[in-house]
Amino acid sequence: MAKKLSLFGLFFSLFLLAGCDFYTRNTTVAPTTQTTEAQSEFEIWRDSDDARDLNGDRKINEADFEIYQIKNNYDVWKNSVEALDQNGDSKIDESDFDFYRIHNFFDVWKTSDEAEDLNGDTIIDTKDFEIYGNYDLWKSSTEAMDLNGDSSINVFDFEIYNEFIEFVGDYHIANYSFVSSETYVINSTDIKVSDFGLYLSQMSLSVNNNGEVTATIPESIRTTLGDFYAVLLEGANNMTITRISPYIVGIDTTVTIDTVLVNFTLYLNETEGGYSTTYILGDLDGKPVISFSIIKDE
Amino acid sequence: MVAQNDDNTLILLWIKSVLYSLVLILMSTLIILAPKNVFDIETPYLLATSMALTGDENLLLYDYMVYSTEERFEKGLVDDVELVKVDFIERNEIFAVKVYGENEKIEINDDYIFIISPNTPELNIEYYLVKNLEVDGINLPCRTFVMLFKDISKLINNIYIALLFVFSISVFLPISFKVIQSITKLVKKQKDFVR
Repeated sequence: MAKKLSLFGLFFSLFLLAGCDFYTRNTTVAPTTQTTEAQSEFEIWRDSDDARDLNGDRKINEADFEIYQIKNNYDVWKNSVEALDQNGDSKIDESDFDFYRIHNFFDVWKTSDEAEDLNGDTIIDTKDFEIYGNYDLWKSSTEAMDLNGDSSINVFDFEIYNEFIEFVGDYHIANYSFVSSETYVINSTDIKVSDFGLYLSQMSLSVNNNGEVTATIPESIRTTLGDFYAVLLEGANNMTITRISPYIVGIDTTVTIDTVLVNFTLYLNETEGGYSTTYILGDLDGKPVISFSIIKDE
Repeated sequence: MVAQNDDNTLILLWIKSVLYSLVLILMSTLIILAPKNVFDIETPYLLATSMALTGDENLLLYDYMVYSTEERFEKGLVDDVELVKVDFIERNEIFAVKVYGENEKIEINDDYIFIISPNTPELNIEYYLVKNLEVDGINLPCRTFVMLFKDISKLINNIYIALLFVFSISVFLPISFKVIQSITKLVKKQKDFVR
């Protein structure tokens, strides 16, 4: 019985060994290896998580791979226009390449020793990368100021500055148009909605470093607008301007209508001199459309 | 005769106690199981999406993502759409997703609109902010609707919770009193009967 068992054990071991060998040989010369060899560097990159549309042409192709290589391959970078003496030691070498990578690419910075939570929000993200790259320069510039009123100039002020700096300035309203087949009058006034542009053009808007909008309405308009003045002023003074996405800027505001606080957003299209917007008066017949431009004063 | 009467009262008290206890348990279960909100967090988005206007003039390009392979694109449709959804919910906005397809098609999903369009580049996912919706022939900005609905939902939910609370108290107090009263009487009668 014992003999039979040991013979079976020997047979089983041999079978396992043979099986392993067969399996190993199969995987090493398998078609997958041939496929990998046949794949070009571009194809490997294209199929990886690193593949991105780096030139913004809405496609991922060889052109993006070239940009990727400049970022990740020292030899390619050295022969590109990106190769500069970043550390001022009068030569272009790998230390400049490292500097270039860490200072220009968030993903490289994030995995480097330089990455840290610079704004204390317990996560290391693009905000920290922005602080890493530009905070010192900003702090030593004349633009640096205490924006959150904590009596010191620090990274929190820099974050506020970054968020709203593109909007800061004075604006006026122009190119007002009201498209409607009917004549509408603003409630409690004799002002036709189609003529309202005349009044809007006399208003001025100012955006501060915190993205808050202040409206200045001339005295002459105040009396003409009557009760509507309060609504207009409330709407104008509750406005905050925000970048909603790389392609959309919005002005959010609130107005009290019949004791109900209503939120409105004006979505702005960026134009050369500022912004333009359209708004549908959806509760009126024919859904008239108001449009106007918000021009930034030089 | 007296003993038989006592017997009857005892049985009656037992029946009363059991019945009141059953009613108490039933009411407690119903109140525990009753929904605690009339409207949940997703309701305004579901409603706004179902009433949204989907014409091109009503969609604003929010962002787009490009994918290298069909496989990554399919994965993006699941994972990345969920990530972008968070941004829209944070701003009380609703959105549409556009992908390439030869034939134009619009699907209203639970909380976003899915559009197949021949104008979208292949292997791209485009995200659009939906500006307006239509209720009873009136155009309203989606964000205004969502925020108003949220405020109204809060009010209705609070009123509902208050009513539920008042109802619970008005049901629990008398029934609990009856149960305690019946059990006390039962215990007392039981003692008398034993004596």
